[in-house]
Amino acid sequence: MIELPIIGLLSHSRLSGGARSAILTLFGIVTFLPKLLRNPSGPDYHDEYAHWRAIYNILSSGKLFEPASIIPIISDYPGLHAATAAIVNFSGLDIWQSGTVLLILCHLAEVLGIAALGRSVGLDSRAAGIAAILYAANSSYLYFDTQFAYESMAITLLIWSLVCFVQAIRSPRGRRGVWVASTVLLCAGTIITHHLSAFGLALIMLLISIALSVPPLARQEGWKQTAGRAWGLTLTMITAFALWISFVAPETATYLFPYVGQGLSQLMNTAGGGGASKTLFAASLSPLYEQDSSFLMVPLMLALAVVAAFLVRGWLKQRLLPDGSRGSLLPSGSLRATFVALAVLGLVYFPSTIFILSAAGSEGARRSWAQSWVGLTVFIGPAAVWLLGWAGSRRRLWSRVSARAVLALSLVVIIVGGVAAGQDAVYRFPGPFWYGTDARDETPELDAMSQWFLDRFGAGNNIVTDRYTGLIEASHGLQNTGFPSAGFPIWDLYSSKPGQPVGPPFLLEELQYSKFLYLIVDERMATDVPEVGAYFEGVEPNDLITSAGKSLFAGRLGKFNTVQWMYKVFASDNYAVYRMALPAESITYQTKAANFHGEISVG
Amino acid sequence: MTMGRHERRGSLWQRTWPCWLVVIFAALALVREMPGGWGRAVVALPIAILVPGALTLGAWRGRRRIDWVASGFLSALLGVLWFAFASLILFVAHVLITAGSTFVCLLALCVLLAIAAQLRISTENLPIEDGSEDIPVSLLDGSESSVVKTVGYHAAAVAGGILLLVGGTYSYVHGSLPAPADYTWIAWSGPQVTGVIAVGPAGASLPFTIEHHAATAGEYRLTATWGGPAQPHSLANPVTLQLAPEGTVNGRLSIPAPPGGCTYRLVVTLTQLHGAAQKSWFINADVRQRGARLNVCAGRPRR
Repeated sequence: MIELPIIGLLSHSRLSGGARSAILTLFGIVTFLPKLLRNPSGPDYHDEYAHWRAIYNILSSGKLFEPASIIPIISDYPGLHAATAAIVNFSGLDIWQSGTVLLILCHLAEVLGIAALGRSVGLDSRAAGIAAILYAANSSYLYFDTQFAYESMAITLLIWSLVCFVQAIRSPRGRRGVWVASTVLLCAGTIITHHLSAFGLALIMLLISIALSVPPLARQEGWKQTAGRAWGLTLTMITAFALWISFVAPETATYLFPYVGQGLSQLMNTAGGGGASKTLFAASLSPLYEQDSSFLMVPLMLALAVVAAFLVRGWLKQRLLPDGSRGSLLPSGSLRATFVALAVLGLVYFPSTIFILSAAGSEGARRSWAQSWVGLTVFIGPAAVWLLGWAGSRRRLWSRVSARAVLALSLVVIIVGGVAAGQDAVYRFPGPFWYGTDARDETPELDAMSQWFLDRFGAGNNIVTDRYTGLIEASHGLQNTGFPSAGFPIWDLYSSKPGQPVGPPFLLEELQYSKFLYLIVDERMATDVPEVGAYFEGVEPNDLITSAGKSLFAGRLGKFNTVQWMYKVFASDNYAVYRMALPAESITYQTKAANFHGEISVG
Repeated sequence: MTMGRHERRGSLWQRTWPCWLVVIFAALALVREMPGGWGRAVVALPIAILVPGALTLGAWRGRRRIDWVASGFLSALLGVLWFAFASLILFVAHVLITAGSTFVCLLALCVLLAIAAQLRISTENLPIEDGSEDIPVSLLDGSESSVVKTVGYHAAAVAGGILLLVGGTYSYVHGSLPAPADYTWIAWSGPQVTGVIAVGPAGASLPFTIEHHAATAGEYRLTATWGGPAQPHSLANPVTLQLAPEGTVNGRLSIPAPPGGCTYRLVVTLTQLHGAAQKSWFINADVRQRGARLNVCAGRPRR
């Protein structure tokens, strides 16, 4: 509702560049509103809790690279955390407020960065502005890349790195220094902020360097020097990233590869008619029109890409279309190689949509769109302007109105579909408690339990708990939650049947050795199946949810009340806190009648 | 005469702006005396973010090469990055990252960048390679009627946008939100339960706390048992109590020394007396007579 008038104004052909820039600025700020209203006062998305705690750790310890419980890898990429901590120090705002200020700046700079990239490859002001608006329709822009997480800052750094990179390889010698320096600084900033963004940036720079080395695309412009500069910066970026991974963040590969590998294998399975595929919008709360829009968005973008491809084809052959408008829209000179590279990057979006069908690959595919759309929207920006011109040049009024209505409707479908393809309604809108959604699991009861725990036992205790309780305990609760894995299978504590020993023994030894003293149980684990499909952080066994869609823990949580080495020290409606007294000792209880009477007093 | 002053001022600024920016950044030391919050943020953050970035561009003669919209955003992003780089520098230097150390580190960086920028200014007349056209960066395209108007548009956009964010957030936060769900909890509140509690001849007192978070009061019963769920034995006479809305009650379970050498598992249970669900909450602990071994119960006849 707010976006459409702004977009209408921005696409007006008679607008001055300055006014268009101001409107885009307004657009960039206004589009932060939905996420701001989603959780204005504190973290609510899964990753937000982890990053909040990382900044708390810097402020309280004065050190970087402190271990992170919820997402261990984030401690190796402290760019967002260090920047936010500095804002806290300068302003006296709290962590969340400081992060919000930083994210508004990044969000605004993101959309203006696309416009700047468009301008840098030679698009005119209107085409670049429309490219920026179209970019804002990508599935990450409105919610995912506004969450308080490292990728929200890194995507902006990536885009501006590309702006500086393109300017650096293109600028004459006397003007090049500032762009080279900015490219290096921004690339370094991306590297220390987010692994995937740094990886994506390296690939995009590589792509552009390759395009600049293809003589048919670049030979008219002294392509050897240009390509040499591009390769120099690209290799600097790749080397710096490799050094960071080698010496600072060696866990990056082990963190990322399982997702990539599983995504590919599941996709193969899906193609072969096997399992592990994903039903799109299964159990989604999104209304039908949103779901339909997200399906329609892909062919609409493809249609725009086809129009753009025809324009580029003509441009590459140095021919003009009959209406003659194309020449002013498209890049000229040596920038075409960069433009073609960005087009190739953008076209990657279409095959990547297939990964949405894979349970493990869908998340990666979605995340890649924020990067592939950088190229896609710069590529189709001129096509969108051409279509606007074509619609406006219809002779008959009804034809003109119809053509513009179709374009407006298509834009609405792209915007709505883009948002729906990103985050589910549970993430986008506040609402009542919903077990296992990450975004709707925090309740006053959970906060009260966490606060009681902190008051009673202090900060920094090692605790065992489920994913959703752990989000609060490891953030505001200031505790250290164990990260489950095959070597540390804490789900086995929960899944042991009543009457059987709670174990396995090596796990109990590990708990004792690592001083895990507390177990916090959300009793709804026995009755509810988590919406996101996992009870714990990390990768858990598939059989925790039975083939009938029930929880494996049904009837298995009450055993904790009778385990000899566990004491229930807190009980609320849904949460129980147990003190684990390991190593387990053999205790014989009095069960027969005895003369043992006490007294309860209150007040 | 007035024009002359303006020109001199303009010239002085153009020749020495890096030094002035360092002075402005150093003045943040005074701003830090302001109480923390939005007021200090509005004063401090534009300086803290933009100055290091602008000096970075200046150090590489970029200030006059990039249009003001793009250089503004680039300065802001570079400024934010300097925050992160400053923390890394402090970490590598084994200096704790605090408000003071971050400020000093950034000030030192600003001084270095300002020196570089100042040196650049003195060599700014170096020839620029001919034959290459300028590449525009922002959406400014030369069609603007005046710079003042364009700046005004941007100021209005930023002000309008921020007003919308603030207004939207204010009405959302102060609007009618659904009442949070009720809950009640009970917990031990005395010395921490870390294992079997040894009870001396004088007995022991085990304190606990109950909190009731609900809009209405409720009637509850407290009971204490020992012996486990299969064969619970009453430990104390039940107590009925009223829990007020948002009320806290402190209670105490007083016990004598447990008879025999056995260990007893005590359970304190709070039960809702009325209401559809009749919910209950319980906590437990193990007690035994001081001096008795944990497994003594098994081999010794009970007295």
